[in-house]
Amino acid sequence: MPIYFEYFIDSGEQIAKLCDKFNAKEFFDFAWSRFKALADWHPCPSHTEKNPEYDMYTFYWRAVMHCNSLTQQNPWLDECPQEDPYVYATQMHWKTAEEKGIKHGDKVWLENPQGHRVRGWVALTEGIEPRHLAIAAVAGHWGEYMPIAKGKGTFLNDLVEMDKEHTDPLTLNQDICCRVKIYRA
Amino acid sequence: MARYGMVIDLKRCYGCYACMLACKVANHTPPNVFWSRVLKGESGTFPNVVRQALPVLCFHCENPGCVKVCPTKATYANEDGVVVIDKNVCVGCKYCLMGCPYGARYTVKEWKSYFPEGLPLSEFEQFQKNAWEEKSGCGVATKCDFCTARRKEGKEPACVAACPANARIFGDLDDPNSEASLRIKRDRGFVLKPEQGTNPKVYYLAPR
Repeated sequence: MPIYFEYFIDSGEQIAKLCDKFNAKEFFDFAWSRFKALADWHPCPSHTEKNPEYDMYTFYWRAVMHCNSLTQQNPWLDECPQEDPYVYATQMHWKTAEEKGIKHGDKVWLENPQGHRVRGWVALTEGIEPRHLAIAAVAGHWGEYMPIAKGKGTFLNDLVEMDKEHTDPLTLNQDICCRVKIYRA
Repeated sequence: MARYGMVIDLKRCYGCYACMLACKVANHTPPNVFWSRVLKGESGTFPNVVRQALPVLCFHCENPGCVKVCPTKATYANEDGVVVIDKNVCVGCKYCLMGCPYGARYTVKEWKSYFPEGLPLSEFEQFQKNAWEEKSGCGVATKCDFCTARRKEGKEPACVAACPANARIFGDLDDPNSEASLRIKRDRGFVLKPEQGTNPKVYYLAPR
């Protein structure tokens, strides 16, 4: 398991030169401090949210039959999870649900601190950490021309913020874990 | 003659649905009809929780409830122990659906498309529909037949062939040296709902 990433030092110096060449000081300020060789942990906004209203963490998981978003439109792959209680649901621990007055099958809103919200329905389970919500990815299609996929699952993407605060400067990946509040629709 | 049965190793099965899909492809079953299904459940309390997949299909019982109740003898066990349905004799009364304690049987009133009404059937859907009507048809009972057509070609049932975890073993339960028989004996295979007295020929091996 590597712990010393020397190429990040070289990459950082190349980035610095490019930023200087294209006068991209803002990006330089955003990214430069992260190009270090030793691994470090910088908490993303979902870990530093202070508003106690947003007390749940969402994360996504992959259902075995849906590996790309287009698989949601495949009728056979869509049929398989008819027997699975979790694939199109937002999974929640039953104790947390009880505290919030939410029952199995309830329609809910998940809202992030930026005010974006998505809709889903809840499946209660023991198999999740009580402050987390699990959403199967690539679901929540809304397009009219995907009639098989439309309306199934929760559209997690709308909770993922596309800004500098929620972007990793090294990889430009988005923070996919979101802090939300959940309430009945 | 052989007495065919199946063993499903629940330690190996991880619920990928490959068997369910392979069955659908091989047998051209219509929407909402699954000759082979995978049920999922969980047990335990956080953090010690286990989710278990349970593949189910027709168990081709030795004392089948469906055969007992069939008024026309359309459903019967053939010489190799496989419970089959003669679609030309079945009148679609659905007594067998009620007679089966495992929910393994279906009837299909009408072959409907997956897609919204008003759209014509695609070429592929039309092919599926034609193949279904030739194999089984609407208005009669239908269920798994251990892929009789594939076995005639020397192949295993589609669900067995498709399993990426090799969780399914198909074989002759009358042959003590068949892999199915050996696994049942060695790993203490069990059946579902033994209290029903149907003597299923699909055995499970415990997950732990």
